[in-house]
Amino acid sequence: MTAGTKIRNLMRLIDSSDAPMWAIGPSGKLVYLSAGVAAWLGVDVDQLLDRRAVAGSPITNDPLDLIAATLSPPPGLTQRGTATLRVQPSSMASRRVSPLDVRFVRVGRGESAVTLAIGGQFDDRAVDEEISDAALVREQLDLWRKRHTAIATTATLGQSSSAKRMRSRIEVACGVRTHFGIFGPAGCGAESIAMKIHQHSAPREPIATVDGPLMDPELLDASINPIIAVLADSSESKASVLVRELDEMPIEAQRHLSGLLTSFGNRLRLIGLCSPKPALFSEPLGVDPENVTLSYEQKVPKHLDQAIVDCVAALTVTIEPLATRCDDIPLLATALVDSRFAAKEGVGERLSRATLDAIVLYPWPNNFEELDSAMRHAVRSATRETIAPENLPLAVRSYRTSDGSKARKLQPISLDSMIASYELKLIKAALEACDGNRAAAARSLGITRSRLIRRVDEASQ
Amino acid sequence: MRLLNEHETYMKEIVTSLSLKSREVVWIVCESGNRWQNAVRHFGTEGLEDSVDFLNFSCDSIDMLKQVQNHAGKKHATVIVLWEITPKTIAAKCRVIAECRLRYPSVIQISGIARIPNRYQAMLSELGITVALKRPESLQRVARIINQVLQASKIHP
Repeated sequence: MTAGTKIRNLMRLIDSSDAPMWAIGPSGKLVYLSAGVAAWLGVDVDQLLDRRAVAGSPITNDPLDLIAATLSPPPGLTQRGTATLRVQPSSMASRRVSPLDVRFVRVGRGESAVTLAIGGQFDDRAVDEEISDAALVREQLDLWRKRHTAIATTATLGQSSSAKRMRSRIEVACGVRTHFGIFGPAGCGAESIAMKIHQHSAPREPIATVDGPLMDPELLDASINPIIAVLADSSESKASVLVRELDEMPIEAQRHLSGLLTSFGNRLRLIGLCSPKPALFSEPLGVDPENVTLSYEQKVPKHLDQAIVDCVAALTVTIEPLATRCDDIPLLATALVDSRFAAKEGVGERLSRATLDAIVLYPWPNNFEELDSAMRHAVRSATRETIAPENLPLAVRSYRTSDGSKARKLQPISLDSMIASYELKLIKAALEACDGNRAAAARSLGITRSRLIRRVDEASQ
Repeated sequence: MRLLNEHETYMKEIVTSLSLKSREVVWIVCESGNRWQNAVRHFGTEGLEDSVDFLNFSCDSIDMLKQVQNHAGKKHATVIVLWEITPKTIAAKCRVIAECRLRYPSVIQISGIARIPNRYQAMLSELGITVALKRPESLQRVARIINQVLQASKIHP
C-alpha cells in the first residue's frame, strides 16, 4: 500500500477492513458507513445514509431510523471530544444484532465538526496506573527533548535538582569557550557530555583526548602532537585537550600540561574529567596559593597542580551519582529503553512497575554506563513489550537491600573505652571543682586517691 | 555543697549527651507485600547520623497502634509510619490513621498510594497523612528531609 496525502488511500484501507466504522456529519446525519457496518447490522448501509444519528430524535415507524438513532454518540461528546459507548441496535426482522463497543471521536470545531465512530475492543477506560505512569514519563521525556535539543545526551536527563543544576552549568559551558572541568563518579557519562559541550562552544575546533593516569611529559607531547602542530601553524588557531582522570595524572605530566597552557594562552583549552568534586573547588580560590600542589584527600593522596586547579575551576560541572538521585532513574531508564527499542534491538518497549522498583533500589556503582548496559540487556532479553524484572541482569534483579538497622547495630562499640571516658570526665570535673586537690576530688567521688591518680595517669599516657 | 551542685549539672550534661546518642528513628511499615519495606531499608538511613539508631519493621494494621505505642512513648524516639494504601484497604486503614493521629500526634504518617484517585489523596491528608508517595524512589527525598530535620532538632532541641 502506497502512502500519500490523498484520502483515497485511507478509504481503500477502511473499505478493506472488516471493522465497523461510520461518520456523522455536522448536521447529525450519517454521511459514511463502512462495509463492516453492513456485515454487523445485516442491512444495506446505503439505506442508512442521510438518516439522523441523533439520540432522542423523532422516531418514525421506519426501523432504519431507529437503527440510525442508536448509532448516535453518547451525551457530552462535544465537551470531551471522545467517548466510548456500547451500541446496541434493534434487531432487523429475525436477525439478532450483537452489541458493539464503539469509540466516538469528534474531529474539528464548531459547526463543521464531524464525528467518527469506530467499533472494536478498547481497554483504555480502565485506570491502569502503570500505563498512565509510563505515559507521564513519556511526556517528561518529550518535554526534555524539546527543551534541551542542543545538549540532549541522555546522561543529562533528570528531574532532580542536581540534574537541573547540571544542565544549567552545561548550557553555560556550551555558550562560552573556556577551560572547564567535569566532576563525577565512574561511568557517569562525563566524556560524552564534555564532547557535546566542546562541539557547541568551539565548533570544528580540533581536540585531542588523553588518558591522564598513563601520561608522562614525553607521552603527553606525543599524544597531543597533532593539536600542538595546529597551534604552532598559526597564531590565530585554537585547540582543546580533553584529559580523562585528570586528578590521577602524574604531577610531572600536569606541570608539563600547565606549561603548555601558559605558553599557548587561551588558544589551548583544557577540559578535565575528574572523580567526584573535591572540597578544594568549593572553597574560595587562592586559599593557599603558596602551595605548588594541593592534597584534598587525606587517606589516598591525590594531587593537582595549582595552575591546573586554576584553569579547571573556571567552570565546573558536577554530576551526582545515580544512587543519590533515584528520582531520575526511571526517566533515564525509560529514555535508554526508548532508544534501544527505536533501534530495533528487541521487543521490550516499556518497563513494568516491578522492574522500575528493582532498578531504583540498585545502587548503580558504575552509574549511567551500567544503567545503559542493563537496559540494553533488558530490551534484548524481553519477550513481550513490557520489560519484567527477570529481563534485568542477574546482579540487578538479585540485589537485596541490607537491613539498615542490623548493619548499624553491627558497628563495633568499645564499652570499656566509653566507660573510661565517662569516668575521666567526672574526675576532671571533680579536680576542677576542688582546685586541683586530688585527695578532696577523690573523696567527693567516693574513690581512693590512688585510684584517681592511676586513672589520670592512664589518660595522660 | 558547691561541688555537689556542679556535679549534678555535669551529670545532667553527660546524661543529656548520652541520651542524644541513644536517639532512634523507627520506621513501621504496614503493607501487604514488601515493596515499601524494601524502600525504607534502602532510603531510610539517607543522611542519618551514625549516632542515631535506625529501626524498621513491618506489621499489619491491627497491630500498628500497639507498635506505635511501644515506640512513641520513648523520649528520644521519632516514629514514622508508612501505610500502603490501595483501593481495597483504604477504608480500613483510614480509621487507624485517624486514630493514630489523635492518640500520637507526634508520629509522622506517610502513605504509599497505588491506584487512589486524587480526591481521596486530599482526604488522607485531612486524616493525618503528612506525605503521600506514589513511587518508592520518592522516599529518598522525604527520608533525607526527615533526617535533616532530626539533625537540626538535635543541634537546637
